Amino acid sequence: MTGEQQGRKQGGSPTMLRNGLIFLGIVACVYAAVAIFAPATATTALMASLTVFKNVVLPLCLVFLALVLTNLFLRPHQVAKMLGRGSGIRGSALALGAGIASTGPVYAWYPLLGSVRRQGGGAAQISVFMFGRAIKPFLLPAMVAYFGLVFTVVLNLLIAIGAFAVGWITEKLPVHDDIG
Amino acid sequence: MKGGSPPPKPTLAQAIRKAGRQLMSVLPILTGVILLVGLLRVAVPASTIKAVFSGAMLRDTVFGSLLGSVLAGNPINSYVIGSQLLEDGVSLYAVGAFVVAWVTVGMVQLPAESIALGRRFALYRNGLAFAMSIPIALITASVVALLGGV
Repeated sequence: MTGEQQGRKQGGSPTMLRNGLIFLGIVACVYAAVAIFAPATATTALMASLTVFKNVVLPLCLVFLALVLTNLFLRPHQVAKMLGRGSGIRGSALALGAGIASTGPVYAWYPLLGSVRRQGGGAAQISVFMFGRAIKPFLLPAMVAYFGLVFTVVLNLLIAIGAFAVGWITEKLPVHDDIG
Repeated sequence: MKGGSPPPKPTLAQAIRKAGRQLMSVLPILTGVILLVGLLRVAVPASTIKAVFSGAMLRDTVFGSLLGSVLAGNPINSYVIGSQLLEDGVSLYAVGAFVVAWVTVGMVQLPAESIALGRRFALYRNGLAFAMSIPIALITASVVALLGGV
């Protein structure tokens, strides 16, 4: 068993951690460049990031809880059955419902989605989940207030249909074996 | 493939430790994306956003999608910016595409999504979501125009 496989079995992915650190290093370099040429912009951007970070804390707690529960109760063959390539329309409907119910920024959900994919979850179902996130039940009243009832109903209906379409197309694409 | 009994069910402590490691492995990506989102919010002011729309239906719809793909944040912000764009005379086609792409496409998060879910998957998924936001916006705005809304 390689170190990477061992790490994956233990929960985290060393590849993801290493690539993530490289990505963070690049972003830090961008900030350093901005700080040199426009210090005020860098400070304002950091403050804006802090606000974003505060909004991520609660979803991250939910993701952590969901990860614990899936680690406890879900086995890879069950994930594959519920959300795998062979789960069909029922799996996609389940993914759409989960996407609609999910809160917070999408990147807070990457650990869970990555874990689901590694346990046999289908790329199509992950796509449906991510597209379905555009439907926000708790924001519907705000959307009606800003854009009207007709716009809100039609747009959200089309997003649901679009999510299935995106999932269906994803299933046909060569994306099923590219996760590290 | 080897047979045999399935691995034993993990204890709560093991499940928590594994979840902690899973979350920790994505924290550097998450921090990087959050820092980029903050930078983007400062670098692209609202006045710049308004300036890119010309009034041509299809072109504005594509620009709406592009803009929504680049910007990120809480969806309510896309509603606020979208309604402001409508007040400034930008078409509902563009605003619809902007609102859909805001949540479904993430150019800023693309590197992080690639690392977490696979490079090809992230590229195809974002491309598909971008393409899908355009007909969704065109149909929605057409139906609203037909039925008389907004």
